[in-house]
Amino acid sequence: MPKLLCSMPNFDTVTHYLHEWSKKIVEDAKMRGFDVYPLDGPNATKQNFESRLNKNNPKFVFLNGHGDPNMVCGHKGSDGTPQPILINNVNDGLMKNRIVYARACKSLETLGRNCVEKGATAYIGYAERFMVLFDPVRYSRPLGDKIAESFMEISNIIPSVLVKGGTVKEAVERSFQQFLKNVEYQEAHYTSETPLILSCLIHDMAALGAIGNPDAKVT
Amino acid sequence: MVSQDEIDIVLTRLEQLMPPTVKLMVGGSGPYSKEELLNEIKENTEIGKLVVESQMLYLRSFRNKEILETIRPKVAAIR
Repeated sequence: MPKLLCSMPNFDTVTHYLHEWSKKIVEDAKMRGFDVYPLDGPNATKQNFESRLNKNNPKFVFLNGHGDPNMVCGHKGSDGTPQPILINNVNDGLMKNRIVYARACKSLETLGRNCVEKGATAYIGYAERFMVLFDPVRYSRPLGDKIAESFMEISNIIPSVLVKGGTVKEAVERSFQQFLKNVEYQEAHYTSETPLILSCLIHDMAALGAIGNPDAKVT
Repeated sequence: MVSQDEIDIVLTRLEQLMPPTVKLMVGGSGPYSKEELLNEIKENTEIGKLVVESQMLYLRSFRNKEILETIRPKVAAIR
């Protein structure tokens, strides 16, 4: 049975939106017969992350949270700052034989590349900051935020394709195709938000990339 | 690298076009309201530069759709 580990910190605006949209992937994966190990909210710690990897050996690791070139974070610590769970040259070797999708800023080029050099099957992530325009009125219900949907839908396609049996290459290509559709939609339904939505969508897509085996599958 | 001309173009556009009802998350920074975003651009911060660069890329793609093809995500094959 395929296995998915999904980190879902939830303590600020960004992580709240990522958390809510990740639920869709968790549910989808369960429906498709995956054993799913969510690290939800305060449970998204380095200790729990490493414990789940060692105990359950998931092939697919889906990380949500803050990031930089050397780390992807989980939940906040007692000091209120995001705490790293995957760290360059510390526990990146734990990604060996796994497919990783990091919906986090800037982790692709350094952390992602090192994970693959240490045996990860593939690492999909972003080389730059991840931008999301949103409607603060919808904060309590991110799934109903039509502005943020343009961004979250495109990024959710990647884990969605992977749990459906698609390859790494297919996952990023499908995300790109959805991006093109969203651009067309935004241009055809022009509102005052359109210029900023489009510039941010283009920015995010330009930052997306993958390293590793393009033909790899989770299932 | 963003030029002063580009900064001025984006400032004018956002002042006129960005609705005050939305906010922008930029990774772990923000969220930024319209006024906060304009200040980031005026002060030429990292966030301000990112917004200017993304707006300029969008404006170029508006005139030339082929630019969108250039940002098709790359899969660097390492097996």
